[in-house]
Amino acid sequence: MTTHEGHTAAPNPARIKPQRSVKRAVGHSDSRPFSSFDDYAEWVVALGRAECVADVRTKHKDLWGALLMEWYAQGQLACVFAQVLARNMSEAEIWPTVVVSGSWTAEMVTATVDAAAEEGAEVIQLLFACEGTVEDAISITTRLAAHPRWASADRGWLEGESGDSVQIGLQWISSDNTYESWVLGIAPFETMPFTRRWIGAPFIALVLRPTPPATERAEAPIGDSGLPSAHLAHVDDTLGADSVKRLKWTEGTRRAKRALISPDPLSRARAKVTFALPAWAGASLINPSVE
Amino acid sequence: MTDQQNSVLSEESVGIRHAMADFFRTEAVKSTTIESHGARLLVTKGRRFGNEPATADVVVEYPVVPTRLEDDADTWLR
Repeated sequence: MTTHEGHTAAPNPARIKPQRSVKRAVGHSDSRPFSSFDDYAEWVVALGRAECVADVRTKHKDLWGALLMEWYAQGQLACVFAQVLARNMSEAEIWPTVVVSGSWTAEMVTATVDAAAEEGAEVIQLLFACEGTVEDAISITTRLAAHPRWASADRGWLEGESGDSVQIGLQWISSDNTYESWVLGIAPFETMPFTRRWIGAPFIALVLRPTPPATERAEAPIGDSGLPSAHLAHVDDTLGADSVKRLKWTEGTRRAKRALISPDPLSRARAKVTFALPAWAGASLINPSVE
Repeated sequence: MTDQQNSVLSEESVGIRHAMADFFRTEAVKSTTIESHGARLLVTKGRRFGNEPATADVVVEYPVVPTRLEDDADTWLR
């Protein structure tokens, strides 16, 4: 960009917005637009932060966590709480992103979650660099679930729903064995519920609360391990005693979730479901062969 | 898994935890890379894209859309 005086100026980020190439039908006659990963990558290029989209996908992994925050802020996740928290996120808050690549092991991943727990992090995001395929999700799940501090299970269907997918829940178990934490997955493949499907993402994300359940914020059901479960509704919503706003956000989340997921089954978007996978993938996870 | 592998993994685990703790406690450092036995862990602190203003600053309103479920309470927990 060149000014009248001939000086080069940085693009004004307030005027440049990411494209929204992903359209989701809502009800019979409405729709909502959202940004794919590449829409955001093009935005990064337009802002002069990268040379090309391919560089954002492969070289600038340090931007992925921040772009995921932008995706939360846009609202495709349907959770109003996450949307507002992401918009107001500052570097001072402990909400780390770890981009995992190369020859990682479940032990290493467990160590990163333990470190975040020790620091009192409300959330940790683990972004596994990959093509984002069903096979990648199976590989991540089986490798982690083979570790004694992780487990996975088939979550089945809610009564009244059925379909051609299998719902897999992954849990991390705390180092002192006093609670487990349900993992939310975000991946680009088609069987994922729309609210957790970031089209074109060059990674699969696992998002979890590493710190203990906060039962004053939400219930903590007993999980498969026999321990109380931490989950993302335990994250501090920063509303304090403002129960009016909390109720409004809660109702907004319910409405957005129903609108964005329908007519697909809600069973795929439960708090205790990490991945909705094609039915054929179920056999791989029931009889896993760890790489 | 052999005892020797267990020992190596424990060492890795301790190293990663120390590196992560150092990173969290050093406010000026915004990102760090931990490399261990062929793995690469790029850690960044929670933030949106730079200091740019929000790309979407209004909470989107949705119409009421019916679902096949009469009660979807199990889908979330708040």
